[in-house]
Amino acid sequence: MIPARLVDCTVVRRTVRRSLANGQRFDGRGLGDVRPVKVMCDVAPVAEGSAQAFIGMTHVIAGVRLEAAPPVADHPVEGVLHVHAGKDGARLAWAVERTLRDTEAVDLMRLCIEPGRTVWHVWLDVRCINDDGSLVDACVLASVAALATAQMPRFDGGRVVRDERIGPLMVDGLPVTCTLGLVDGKLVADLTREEGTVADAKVRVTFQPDGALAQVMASGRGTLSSDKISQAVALAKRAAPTLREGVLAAVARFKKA
Amino acid sequence: MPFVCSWKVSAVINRRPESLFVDGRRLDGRALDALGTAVAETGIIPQADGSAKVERSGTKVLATVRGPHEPQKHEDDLTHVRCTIDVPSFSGPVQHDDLTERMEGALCSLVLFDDLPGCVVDVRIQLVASGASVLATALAAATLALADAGVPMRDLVAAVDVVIVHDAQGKRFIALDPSEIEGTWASSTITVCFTCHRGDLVLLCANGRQSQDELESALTLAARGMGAVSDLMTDSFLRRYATRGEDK
Amino acid sequence: MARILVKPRQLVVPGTPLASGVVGGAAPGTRLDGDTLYATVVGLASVRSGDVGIIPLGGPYLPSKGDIVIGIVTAVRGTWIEIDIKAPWSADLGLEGGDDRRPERGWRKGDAVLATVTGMDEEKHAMLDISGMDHGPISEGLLIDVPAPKVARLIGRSGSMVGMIRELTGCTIIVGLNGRVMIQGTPGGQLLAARAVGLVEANAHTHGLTDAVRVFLEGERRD
Repeated sequence: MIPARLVDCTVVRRTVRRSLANGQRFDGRGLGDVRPVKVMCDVAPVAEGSAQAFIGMTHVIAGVRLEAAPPVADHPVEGVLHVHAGKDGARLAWAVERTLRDTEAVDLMRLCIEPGRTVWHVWLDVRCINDDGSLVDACVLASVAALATAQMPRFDGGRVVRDERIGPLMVDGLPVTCTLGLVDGKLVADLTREEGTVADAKVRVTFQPDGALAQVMASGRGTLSSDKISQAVALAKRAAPTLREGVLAAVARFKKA
Repeated sequence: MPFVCSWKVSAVINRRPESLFVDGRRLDGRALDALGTAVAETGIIPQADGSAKVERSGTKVLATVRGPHEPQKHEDDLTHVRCTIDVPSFSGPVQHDDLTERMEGALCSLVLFDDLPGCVVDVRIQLVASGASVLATALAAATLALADAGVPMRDLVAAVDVVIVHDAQGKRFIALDPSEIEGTWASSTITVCFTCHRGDLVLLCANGRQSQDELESALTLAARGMGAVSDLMTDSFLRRYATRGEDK
Repeated sequence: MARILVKPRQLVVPGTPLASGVVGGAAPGTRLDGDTLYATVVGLASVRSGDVGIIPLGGPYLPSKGDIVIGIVTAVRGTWIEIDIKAPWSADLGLEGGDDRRPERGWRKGDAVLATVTGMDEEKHAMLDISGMDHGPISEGLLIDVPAPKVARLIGRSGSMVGMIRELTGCTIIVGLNGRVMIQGTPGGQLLAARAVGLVEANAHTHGLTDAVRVFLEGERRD
């Protein structure tokens, strides 16, 4: 059942904050529970790869486009990853790009066409369709699904030939990101938009495809003790499989079709 | 880093078909006056005041509406309907330079703001995939999203493209509702938009070269297809409220 | 005599012809062109003693004198405050009289308030008053957003639906006609009432909704 929509105002924030501090959530979830996750691939068939992802009512779309162009000056044999999230999306794009780089999800060394002259540029665009919290996590799911199902076009005689696809873009497994909030000392997984407004701090935990910890980023008021960080990582680790399952299932369905 | 997304280069490399009309049929087997399939759905984005999704000919468009609302104090542009469009790189090649202006013109002539003094409405078009009939599909999505938001309008609109395609001998044929490949290689594309119930012409855009006769034939062909396109628009609401019963 | 072209409760969309040979005014949601009446919004046709009107299925809240509404403060301007009541136009609350009804620390952006619409200016900005019963700042509880066209269903005939939710959750519930619902009670009661409101909103168009909500609430209470 879709939960009723809360009005964003001072009194509601106060009530939500108090509820979270008592371990209660508006949609009845436990503090460590993630909302239903759904990922579907190939939402934009004309792209090299694409996917849409839902976490609860949060809905995002990601798509991958490959172009051939000169490499960046200091990296003559490496492909280039560009992440964009539309107008006003700079922060979101940065967060997604950080996740993909830190987990080396795309092996840029394999994207060289002619050393020093031509490399593949991976244009990853993400767009938020509906924001009900956990936006970065949803964008990472959609991005990874889009990259994992992207098919490389052929490069022939100085031109990109999109009619023919020569194989998958190499993606080394599926990294996952889980964002938690700290509310009055309590750690909460997968914050809705309203819950996000009352969080004192946010912790974003990124895992490598094999489950190893890749990165922890904390932001917000006050400081987080190392104890709290450990707790956050543990909570995120319990939540990560739900998120990863969504992508795995979508990629498997896509490959079967 | 100087870099230009090479859409035009890609389109040239895709091989131009020798003929778009073979043995009396179009490449996808349709007759010249046959519509392709399309999908329309409304109310899909809870946070928006109104929303709709339309898919046709490889084009997928999401429209969201905010309003009606008063413009911000510093704004002096009182155009009733303001359109913006987002074209992510994965959506494909599309010439959308004046898409929003054309849409604003058509939509402004539809909305009734007599009872909404001083109000404006924002329509945001999110392109997800661009195949053929981008303007027509965007207009359909915008109209449905406006209706979903409860913005009073004269009518809904039905929009469709008509293209002029060649066969191998260079003979020209006029085809309704182009497929993706027809949309890419047509010599001329004409977008036509009528109001659904009254059949008033709201928009006519022609790209490419066509004679007066061809233009008139195109309009007639479009008018013939409008009934089905109108039904698609109305059906999206009928399906959604299908289980309507007595309110106690 | 007007000829009616639609059946009662028929779904209509903008442009649907409703009646021909019409003389007189056009009800909200309709417009007259010559002597033909057309729908201008998506809704259900309502036919009553030869007149056709529309029950809209969506659309913003349009303020009316006497409406009880729940607003959110958007700006504090000295002698008056600007309030969002989910209408296309903002609303004003004058601060001259009734000082005892303001929050202790003064009005701030984001505050919620229960008020009555006393009228509208020429540009359709509603004027609000907080002297009525239970009016003034809302300092506790939850506020739920409900589309304005569904408010009637949430209230129910003679208040039957909202009354039942109050009874079975022990909460104070006030339904603003502008589509905001205030719920105050125990934390558990508030959550339960909020879920009941969500249930009504999702199924506003179905038969037997009152019974379904009752069954849901009684089931939850037992646990």
